[in-house]
Amino acid sequence: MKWRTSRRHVLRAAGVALALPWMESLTAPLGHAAEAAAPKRFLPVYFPNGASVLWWRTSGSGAGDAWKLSPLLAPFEPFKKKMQLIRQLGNFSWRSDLMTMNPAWNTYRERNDFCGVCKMPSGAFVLPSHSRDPSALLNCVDGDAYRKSRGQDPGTSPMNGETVDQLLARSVGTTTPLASMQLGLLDGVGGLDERHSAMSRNMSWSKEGTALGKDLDPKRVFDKLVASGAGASSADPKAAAEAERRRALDASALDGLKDSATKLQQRLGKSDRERLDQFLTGVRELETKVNKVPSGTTGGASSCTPITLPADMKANDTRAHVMNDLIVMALQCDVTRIITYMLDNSRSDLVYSWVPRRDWEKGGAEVGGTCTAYHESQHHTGISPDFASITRWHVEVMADLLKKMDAVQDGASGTLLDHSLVMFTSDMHHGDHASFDLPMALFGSGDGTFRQDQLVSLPETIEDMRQLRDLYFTVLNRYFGLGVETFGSDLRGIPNQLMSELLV
Amino acid sequence: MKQPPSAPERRASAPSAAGWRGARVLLWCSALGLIGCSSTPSPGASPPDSSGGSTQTATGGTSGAAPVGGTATVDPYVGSKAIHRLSNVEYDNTLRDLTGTQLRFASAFVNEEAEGFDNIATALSMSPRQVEDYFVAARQVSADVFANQALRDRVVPCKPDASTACAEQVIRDFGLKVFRRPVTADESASLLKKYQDALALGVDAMGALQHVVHILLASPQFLYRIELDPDLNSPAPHRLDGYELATRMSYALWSSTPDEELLVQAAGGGLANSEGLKAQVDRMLGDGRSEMLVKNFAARWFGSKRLEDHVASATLFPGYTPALGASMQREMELYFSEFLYKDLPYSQFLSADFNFVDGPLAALYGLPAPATGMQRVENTSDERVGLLGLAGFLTHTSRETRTSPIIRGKWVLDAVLCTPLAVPANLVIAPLEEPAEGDAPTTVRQQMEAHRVSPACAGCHDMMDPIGLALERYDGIGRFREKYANGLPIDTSGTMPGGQKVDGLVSLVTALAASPKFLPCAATKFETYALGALSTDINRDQIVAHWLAGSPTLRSLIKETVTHESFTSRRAEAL
Repeated sequence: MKWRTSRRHVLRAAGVALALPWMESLTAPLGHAAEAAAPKRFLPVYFPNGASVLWWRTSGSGAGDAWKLSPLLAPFEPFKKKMQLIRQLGNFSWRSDLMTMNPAWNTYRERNDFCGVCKMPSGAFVLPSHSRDPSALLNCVDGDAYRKSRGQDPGTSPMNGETVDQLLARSVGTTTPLASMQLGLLDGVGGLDERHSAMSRNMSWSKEGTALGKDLDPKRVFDKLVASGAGASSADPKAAAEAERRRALDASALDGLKDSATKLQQRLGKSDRERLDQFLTGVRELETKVNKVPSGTTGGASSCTPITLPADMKANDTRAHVMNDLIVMALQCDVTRIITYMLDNSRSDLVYSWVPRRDWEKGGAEVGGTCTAYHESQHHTGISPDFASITRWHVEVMADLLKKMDAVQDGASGTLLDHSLVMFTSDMHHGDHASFDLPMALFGSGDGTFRQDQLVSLPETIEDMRQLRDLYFTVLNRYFGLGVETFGSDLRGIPNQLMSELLV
Repeated sequence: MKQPPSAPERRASAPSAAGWRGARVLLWCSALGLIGCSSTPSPGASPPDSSGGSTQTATGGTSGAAPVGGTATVDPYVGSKAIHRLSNVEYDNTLRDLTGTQLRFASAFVNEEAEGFDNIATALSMSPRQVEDYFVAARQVSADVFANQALRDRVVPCKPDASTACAEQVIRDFGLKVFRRPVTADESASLLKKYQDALALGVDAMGALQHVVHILLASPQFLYRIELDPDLNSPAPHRLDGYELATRMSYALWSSTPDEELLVQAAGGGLANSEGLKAQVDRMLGDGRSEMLVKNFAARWFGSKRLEDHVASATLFPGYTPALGASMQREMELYFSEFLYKDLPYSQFLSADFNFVDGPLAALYGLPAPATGMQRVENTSDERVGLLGLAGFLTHTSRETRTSPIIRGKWVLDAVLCTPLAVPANLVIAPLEEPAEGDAPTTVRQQMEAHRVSPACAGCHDMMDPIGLALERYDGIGRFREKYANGLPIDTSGTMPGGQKVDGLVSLVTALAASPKFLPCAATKFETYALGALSTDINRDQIVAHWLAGSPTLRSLIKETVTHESFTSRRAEAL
């Protein structure tokens, strides 16, 4: 395979050889070096099954008034000035078997999305799509290849490559009580597409390849936040002494668990020792937590106040709002700065019976009934009112979170939203299962790092197309200043490139 | 002597090196072996002792050709099973049986599945979140036990005082149950040290014991089923010790911890031979805990558990309620129980002439309602036979608004013939349009025929479609119908890949029951579940040969599986 080598590529390649100067140039925040640092936050929010094609009915392009949101995305109107909508950003070139399995991957085929005459690379289809696609969303690596390289069965092992949020959590999460949080809203059940359930129901994997799971119960999230310092302190010395004794007992128990796991390891084979390593990692993390946060003390900003949970959180709308409140509480109290949030599982066949069916091609008029099963509606012929209505519901949930984040002052100037980068996306385009042209919206400027109010159309040609790994590469280096040399994989063999079109 | 393969090969669903062509070939081979492929000997034809000495099947995995009769010259495949974290269900059951606590945790834990089951060792992980969940749960259970006199007395039968005698007794006796084996001297000393740590923190003696119980219940020796190899450097298979076997037995049959009797047998050598193990199978099936074979194993195998989440359109199926769904689920459980506990021949599983009905379910079937509760009724009508005629099976394999011959076909192939279908990894196709709500019913067949025109799709659809279409006389909630709602006739005819003509439920069931894959598939499913590991052709063929040599019931299948070397032995991981 021969690649057109642009001047850009050459410069990047040279940069690898001259690591130090290159890294400086990568990481130096343009014009922001001297500012008092606002907290840096990254929140990937995921919805499964792709978006209704009505997502892409935008008009115009470029910045400011030159572009308009599609009617389906109208709930984002109040935040349009803090938003970037990206087109033709894909995530499939990590597929290590693509070249051998599908040599014609880089030929073009018609897109099946009513877009008129437009095409995409054949390789943009990744099967089995609802397991491999979502599990590559935050790491841009081939999970099958990762598992095989570690002697794991690709079909039953829950392991996968480290995700971008965990890389960040390792680097910037050390200053907060929790390095990161993993949250979920709906737990829709569907097929697992031939892989471990973690591939479709989980977003974050640790450096060791452990699936981190997620919290779906708002009460648990609330308790976790309070236990991590986002609550009122206790002035009662007796209670404080009791809390200290509980802490000491926990520390003693954890010490005992470490001891027994370590001794057991000596009697086990290599794979089993590695399994117990996972246990030990968990025990050590818990130990850190127990020692770092004496229970009952206040952490975070002075404005940190626990929310009040409603008594009844069975309704999905209610739980969605509460979860958003909890995310804001976590950020405001500075319990964590890295949160991944799954609005539902990949291939969810949950029946969205609480969402009225509306015709979003005609302004959203109710057309009777409520929405059907999510994944089934994804594959409806033509433009499915159900699928569009479900996408719209997720957009509304997201808009509620943005509204709440933008209402909280963060430091001397700006809001929580201004001092964050919130990513709203899915692992596929729509019912075509293609990982080309993902629905991708960014919110918040990352304290002036990212441009605002623009619609970015990226190249569609194979040589110049951008992949999701470059977005993370840009976030890691330009927003968080980590000096990461490479992130994710790309079968074209080209190095990461900063997405300067997104940067101020 | 033949060497065992280095690892059980996986099924065709994960084609890698072979690529698309290889996958196609495997699928096609499966299709040939599906129904009465004449070159494939019947598995029952030659039990091992009378065998002419055939060899293992070439493909490995669970989707290869039908099993070959002779097994005498083949060594069983003995695996180095991974340490096995308790599944969520096993965790709750185990704590219940150990302590009597009413607390349950599993529903809040991460839900992990692979291969259709929730207990596959390599699929059960241990993330920091899970470690924390287990740690907190252990603390809660420990507190619950010590707050309740009756529960506490079971764990602490002595009076803790200034001496450590009582603590040592608790560590020894309760520790044996928690670790499912005797606590070692070193472990005992460490736990005693923790007891003293707690005393030093100002906790009273009972509180210090509570601390010890907290640690025991959060220990890796409790959370994982651990089997040890006498020599980590020798790959030779060795028989499990009594405690390890008792543990495999209790989690296979009960999804819970060994009881006193199993632990006594483990210590006394009662599990050292097949007779002892078979006697335990009979005893354990007589215990209520064996209902997990119905509610976890069979429920996942045949999908009755899916009815818990099933939704049927209230507009199109006004008769369907969650209560009716629960009755359907219960019927599927009772149907399996009848075979399990009454020793019916498993060969009749697809053709038995009985149902279990309550009022609403009887109405759906057009049968008289029973006087009370859920009753067994004989039903000799050809409208209903066997598993595939159960409303529950027909419902959970349907969509919200309509039947799905594709889902039904896929489920039958996987559950009855162990022929799972997978979309090849590089198949580049736009998603197939499934018939939309409101389409004329004839399009179900027409659309599916469109699939088969494409060679890329025909490989799977040639297998699924005749099965699904043969069941079209049952609507989305399993009601019998003579024609579609709009009056058009239903055509249930089709040709199986082996060439048999089928037309409706009875002929389909006859064709499936005649498949050389039908009985072995039961063995594959149970071995997978019982071991919590992928089954292999070699072991399955040996188990099946023994099973069919006697009277093939579910009970005898369980006995043949737990006495097979793959269950009673292990080997160290290859270096």
